[in-house]
Amino acid sequence: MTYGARFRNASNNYVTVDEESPSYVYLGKYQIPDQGGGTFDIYVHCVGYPLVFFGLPYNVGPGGGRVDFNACQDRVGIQVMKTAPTNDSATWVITVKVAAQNRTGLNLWLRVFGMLHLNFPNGSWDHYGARFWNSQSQLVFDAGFKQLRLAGNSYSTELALPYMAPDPNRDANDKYDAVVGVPFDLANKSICANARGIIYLPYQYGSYVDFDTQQNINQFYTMAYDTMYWATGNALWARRICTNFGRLDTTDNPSADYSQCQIVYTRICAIDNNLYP
Amino acid sequence: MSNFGLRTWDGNGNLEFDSTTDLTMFPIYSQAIQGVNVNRSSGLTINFPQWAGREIAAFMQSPYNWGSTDGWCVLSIRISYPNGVPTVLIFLDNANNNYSICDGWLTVMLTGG
Repeated sequence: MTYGARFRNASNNYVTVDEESPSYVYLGKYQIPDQGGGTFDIYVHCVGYPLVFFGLPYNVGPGGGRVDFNACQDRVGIQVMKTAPTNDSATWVITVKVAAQNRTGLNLWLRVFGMLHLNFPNGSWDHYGARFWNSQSQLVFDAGFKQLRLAGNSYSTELALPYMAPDPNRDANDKYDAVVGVPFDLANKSICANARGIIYLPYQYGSYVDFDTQQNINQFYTMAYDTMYWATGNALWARRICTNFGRLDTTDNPSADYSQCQIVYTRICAIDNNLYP
Repeated sequence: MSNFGLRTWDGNGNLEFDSTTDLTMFPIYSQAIQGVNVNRSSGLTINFPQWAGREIAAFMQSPYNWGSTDGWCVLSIRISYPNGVPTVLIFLDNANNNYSICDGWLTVMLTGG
C-alpha cells in the first residue's frame, strides 16, 4: 500500500482503501421476466466485469407433489448461467434460468455491481463525503456511491452440493438438495453463488424392434440437471432440478455424463435488497 | 459504536459509508481463468499470503452457456485458510474432453472479517 488509507473496523481488521483495491459500487437492478419460469437474456450496463447478485425464490412450495418422472422437474429455483460480453464494451448479457412451473409473482431481480473507477471515473455529484484516488489519478473510493456490502457474515458458510447420480425413477423431490444455514433470514436478499454442477442422465425405459431395419431400438429418457437456488428462512438450498427433459430412441447405449468435480462447492455471499433499491 | 475509522454522510445527513462495519467488500484480485489451465482432477489453487489472517470471498462467473450435454460446464470454488493464508481452489469441468472446457472470471474480495 503506497496510496490510500486504512481504517480499523469493528473486528479490529483493516478496511483498506488503496490503489490495489478499488471499490465495487452499485450500478442498478434489472427485473427478471415474471413469466412462470424460463431462460432469459438480460442486458446490463457495466464497464469492466460485473458482479451480479440474483434474487432468491423465497419460501415457494415445491408444488404439485408428484412423485413420478416429473418430480425432479416440478420444483422452483434460480440460476445465473453465464455472464458474457457483447459487442458493446459497456454492455453484458446475463443469462438467467428460472424454474417456476408456471408460478408468477416471484418478483426476482438482478442487482449489478461494477468497478468504481471504470464506471464513474469522474465520481459522484455528491458534495459531501470522501473520495480517494490512486497514483494514476483513478478514483478508487467515493462515498457518494453505494459500496458492495454483505447482509451478514455468510461468507464463512460453505455449501457443498454432493455428487450423486440421480435415479429418475420416482425420486423424492428433495433427494438431491443441499442446504446450509446462514446467520440471517434470506427474505428480500440476493446472492452471488455461481458454483454449479450438472449431470446428464439417459435412463432407459424400454426397447422395440424396428420392423423396417430389424434393428433393436433402445428407448431413453434424457435428463439434464441444473444447480438452482431457493431459500426459506435462514436456509439456502441448492437443488438439482431437471430443466431439460426429452426422449431418445437409438440403437446406441448413451452413457451418463458426470462431472469430474465430485462435489461442487460455493461460499454464500448475500446482500440486502433494501440497501440497493 | 466504534471510535475508530471513517464515516461519511450525504447532504441530508444520511450515512453513506462506515468503515467500522465488517461487511464492506474490497476487491484484491481478479483473473480470467482458462479452463485448459485448470487440472480436472486437482483443480487450480491460488493463495494470498499477503492477506494472512483475513477472510475473503471469491466469486466465479463463466461466459459460457450450457443447456445441452455438449455445452454444460461446472464451476466449483472452495476457500480455505491453511496456516491462516486465504486460499482459493477452483474447479472447472466439462462433460467431454472433445468439447471446449469452460473458462471463468475470478474475483476475490476482502470481507472485513
